[in-house]
Amino acid sequence: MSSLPDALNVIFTEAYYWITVVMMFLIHVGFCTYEVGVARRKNAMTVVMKNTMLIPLVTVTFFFFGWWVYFAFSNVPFNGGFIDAPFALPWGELMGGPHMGGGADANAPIWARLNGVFWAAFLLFSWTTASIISGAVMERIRTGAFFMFAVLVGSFTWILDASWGWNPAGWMVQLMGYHDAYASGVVHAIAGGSALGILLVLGPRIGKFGPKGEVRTILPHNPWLVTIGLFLIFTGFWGFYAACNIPIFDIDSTDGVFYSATNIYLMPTTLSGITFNFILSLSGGLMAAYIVSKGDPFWTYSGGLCGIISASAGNDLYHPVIAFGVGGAGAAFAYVLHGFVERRFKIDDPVGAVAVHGYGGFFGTVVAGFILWGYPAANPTSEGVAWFATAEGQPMINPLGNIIGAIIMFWVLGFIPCYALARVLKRFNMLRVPREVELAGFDTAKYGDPYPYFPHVETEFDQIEREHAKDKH
Amino acid sequence: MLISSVLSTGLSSFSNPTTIGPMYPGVGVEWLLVIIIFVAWLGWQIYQFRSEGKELKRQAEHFRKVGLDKVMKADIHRDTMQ
Repeated sequence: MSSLPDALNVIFTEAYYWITVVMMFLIHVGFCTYEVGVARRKNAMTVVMKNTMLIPLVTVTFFFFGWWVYFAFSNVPFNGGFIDAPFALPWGELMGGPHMGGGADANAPIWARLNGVFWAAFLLFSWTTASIISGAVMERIRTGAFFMFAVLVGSFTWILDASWGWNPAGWMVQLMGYHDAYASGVVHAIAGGSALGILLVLGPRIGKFGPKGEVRTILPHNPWLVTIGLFLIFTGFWGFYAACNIPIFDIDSTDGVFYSATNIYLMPTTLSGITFNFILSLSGGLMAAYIVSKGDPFWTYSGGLCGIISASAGNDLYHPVIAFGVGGAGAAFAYVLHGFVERRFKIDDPVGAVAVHGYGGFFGTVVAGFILWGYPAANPTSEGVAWFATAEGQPMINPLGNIIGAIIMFWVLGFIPCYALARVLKRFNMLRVPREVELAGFDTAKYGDPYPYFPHVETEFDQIEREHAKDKH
Repeated sequence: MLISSVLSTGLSSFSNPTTIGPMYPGVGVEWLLVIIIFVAWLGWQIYQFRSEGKELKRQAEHFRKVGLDKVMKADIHRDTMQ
């Protein structure tokens, strides 16, 4: 880059995404901390290892095909065909590490600097989708089976939905006016739907539901570690929000020049505005969840997370008070629905992932379609394809587009593929650990007690489990 | 030829940066590097799943033999169950 302004723009953007990646690592630290706190003592280390090893597995597969899927599939199947994306192919020179930008490719000077950091930002989203599922299925799924779901969701289904609905050229954006700035549906609803699909087949932990269907409480082995984990996720979420923006972009569609931050659809927003909305939606979620859960720490913290997730689809444009209201409503909605589904359908979700991410994300996606009705969703890639268009011909954000979009995220790309894979694995007895291992504990024969200097106090649920251990079936 | 491609950077000067493209060793044989790591990933997944299956089977048999109720009572001495 021979001009200083160009260099400042590109190298600032490179550094910006690099920092978001570092911040987003905290999300994964938080998920590990949170999940191990929820797990019982006899399963703690297996839970940590399960959540840790998804990192390399999703990383290598996202390198192989995830990044390419994001660019190649955005017009498939409704707005054209595959798009050529040589810079995202794993054997391409621009996926090859240090590159000065010289060569035949006209985009090389920019992509040489940005490909790796863009890739890593999306990769961290991939880890998040897989990690959301990890908590829901803990304490009975086979680790190897979980790894398959992690690769399926982390490196394929979520990035396919991002290609369709989280990309200015994606067909869901261009046709339907789908809008989901900070990924209520694109990351969270799909992960929640995926978790639900697995849970339906996997079944509850032994003893979770009594003979009359009553819901039994399985205490976390370390409640305060759970809250620290959620605090870390809140912190990492800042990096997630920043990574969903383009920090400097010329948004003037006429001959003029006007630089601004944009959302992922290259439509204007400001870091200042989303800072208001992030904190207000967190606050709305915390306050609502505190009330509906009667001050339960686990659900209050989870409600804060759900508040952000619920408002995320529209937090690029909401007023902070709207973000507060949507966050609060989403958290209350998720809490109530979680209780209903648990009692009615006997779904055992130890961390409330389906509720916080799935229901909260679905709710937030639908609500954004109503509140932001009429705004431009993106600049058109071809004229006249949008179902609803603004006066200037841009696809328009609308309720129908976001309702259908939420269904695609949660059910079509979330629930169905994971339900199908779970059925196949169950068919071959590869989904769940043997009953003896589940009752004795995953760590018992493999890692030993993680707290060798602290005596174990038997809980009411331990006694219930021992009763199950006497059953011979 | 392959070995020399992988082991050489192909660069001996940074004096004219506008002409420099990729700087990593292995330019032109990226496909081979990708195949190697792809096979490694697939092999890891298969190995992990098989070895975990054997280990779970062994553990389940062990717990049945020792007596599950005894194992669960022995909570404070779980390391003795290894």
